[in-house]
Amino acid sequence: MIELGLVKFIQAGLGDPPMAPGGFAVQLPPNLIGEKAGQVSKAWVYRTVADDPSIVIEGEDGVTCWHVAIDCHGVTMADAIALWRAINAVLRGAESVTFEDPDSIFVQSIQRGSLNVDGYSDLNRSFVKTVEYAVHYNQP
Amino acid sequence: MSYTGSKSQIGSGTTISIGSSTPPTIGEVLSIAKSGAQMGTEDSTNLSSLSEEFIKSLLKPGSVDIVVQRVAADAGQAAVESAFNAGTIEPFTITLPKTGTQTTTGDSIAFSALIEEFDDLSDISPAKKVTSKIKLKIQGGASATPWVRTAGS
Repeated sequence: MIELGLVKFIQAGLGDPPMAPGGFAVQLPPNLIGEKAGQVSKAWVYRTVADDPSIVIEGEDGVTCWHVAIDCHGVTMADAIALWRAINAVLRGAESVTFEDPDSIFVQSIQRGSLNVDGYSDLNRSFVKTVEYAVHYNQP
Repeated sequence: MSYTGSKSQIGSGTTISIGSSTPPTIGEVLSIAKSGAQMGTEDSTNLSSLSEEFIKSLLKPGSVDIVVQRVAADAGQAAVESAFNAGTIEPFTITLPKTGTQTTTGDSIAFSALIEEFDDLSDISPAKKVTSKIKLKIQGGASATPWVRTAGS
């Protein structure tokens, strides 16, 4: 479960306790982001963008490239950027890592893609920085 | 006979093995390409010729180029490297995938070749798999048909 492995990997690198909740799939839970009691100033979401399996002449190879977008939400743009910087510090240069998912997926390397978009989420009333990463891993 | 549709096939599922007794398959092959098979000719134009003419000489069997994803522990790739270092001519078999009418095995091609080139680290890039390139020079000699095709069944 590459998704679970990535979430655990990032959260483990965001401190103890982590600086922000995250690893939600596709969208944040309702009313998570905000300035009221019980809300948080920043949180992150992951979205699968593409998946490139490797095809050799014998068939599909196990090495796959998973393209994932990380949406960093913040009450302010500064919050979103700070969260992204912390996540990027975890992912940047990561190589030969075994994720802590049930399949113990071996990740050969994680590389940042060229997508880096700033935006605003009306649904969450949050500023969003979206950055794409390519995760090269061995399919279990 | 009227045309009822293409009977061509794609290459996925093709294997290539090296050696004769329990030959290991060369693993993680990206591509196999045969080239250079050419019938030699000798010019025989003479004063009586009204236009250029030639006679057949010898068949040039050609080469097979293989690109693989480098796997140090793959028995087939290791056998190729050993044969390259030893300079020995080895038997190879390429087996194509079964067509729609074949039930047991696809077409196979047998040939002998010298591993003329073996580039263990032909391409190392940050975001791509490490690949190796192999060039096989097909041996001719005693056989007029150095590239022997056997139909599958």
